[in-house]
Amino acid sequence: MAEKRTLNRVGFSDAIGATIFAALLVATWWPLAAVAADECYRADGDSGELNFRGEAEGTPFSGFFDDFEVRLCTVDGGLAGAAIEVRVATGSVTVGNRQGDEALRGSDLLAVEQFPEATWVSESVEAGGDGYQAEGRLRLREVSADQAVNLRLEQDGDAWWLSGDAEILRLEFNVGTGEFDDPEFIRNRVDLRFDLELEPENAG
Amino acid sequence: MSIPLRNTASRYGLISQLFHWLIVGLIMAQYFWAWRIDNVEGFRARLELVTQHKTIGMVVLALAVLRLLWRLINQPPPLPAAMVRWERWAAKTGHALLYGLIFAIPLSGWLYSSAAGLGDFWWGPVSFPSLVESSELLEDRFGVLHRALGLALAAVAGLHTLAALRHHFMLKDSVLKRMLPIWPKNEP
Repeated sequence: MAEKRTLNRVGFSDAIGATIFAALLVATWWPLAAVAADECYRADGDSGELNFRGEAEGTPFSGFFDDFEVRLCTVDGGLAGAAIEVRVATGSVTVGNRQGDEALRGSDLLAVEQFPEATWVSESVEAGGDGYQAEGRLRLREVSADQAVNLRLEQDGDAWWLSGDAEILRLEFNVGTGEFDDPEFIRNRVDLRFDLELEPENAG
Repeated sequence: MSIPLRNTASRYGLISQLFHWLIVGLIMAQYFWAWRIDNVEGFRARLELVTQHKTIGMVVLALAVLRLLWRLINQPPPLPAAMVRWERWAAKTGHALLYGLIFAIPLSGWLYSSAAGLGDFWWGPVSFPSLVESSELLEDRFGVLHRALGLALAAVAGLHTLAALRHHFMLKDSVLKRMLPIWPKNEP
């Protein structure tokens, strides 16, 4: 998690993070299928990273979410068609500076007091590109919309790592009202990246 | 009326005067910007003002470096012979403090910005690296240091101005006039 500590700046992609996690879990299932079928796996803020990047006044910033959970259950032993659920605690967001954190958690952006959780639930997971393409529904600030996530799976020793990315258009989820609704100030697109170590749910 | 570029035995030349008055103007603008930052409402407006304040500060730092280099290769005119020892000591100490603060304040601001996690935000295409990791503890400490140095500069610059006015109106010597862009026709 040391890498997360180096990130900073404002971020708006809690929901995206959840989506990514779910997608990652799906991708992981493909090699995992050789081990077990119809199993469930999980990852969270202790076993992975959920980072994001955006731009404010044309200057890049980055941040991460510390508290999130991902649950992936395979279907017939494969990643394709897996079910993924992601939950992100929006209040765990940080961009590495207190002014940015206050703004990001405030009512004009993530509004973490009113909307403490963002979720992503997969609807389909299919092989595509260099990994898998997951489609699902992202719910952020009580706004629900389609959100795609790219997934990749890698093995490092005995561990399986899911990584991936997604592009979230924050204004579709009302993340940015008042002075923050101007994409010339805060770019609409937020780039999410995640890297998760998957653990079998029954591992102990 | 033409002002020589280099200092003469009795007056500051055009380049020294430009450095002096440009830095004075920018520093005065910095105090105004600092006041605006403390009083503005809205995240965006504050971020823009802070970014401008930081960028102006780095311009001051660059000008201070150039001014010091110019001073090293182009000695300033000597102090009036009539000045007594304590006045000479006060003048040299004051100038040393001014130079030190002109360097120290932008550097403390750079550290403050870095510690606040805002090191990437600069006005225009220029970018500077963050000097320290983002840390709220360091942010608070460098913030206090930056403000204290700013107050110190205001005090020393105030004394510097009073001293110049004393020379002009009470001692009636050329100490103030030699830093003004007024060059008598009968003076080389």
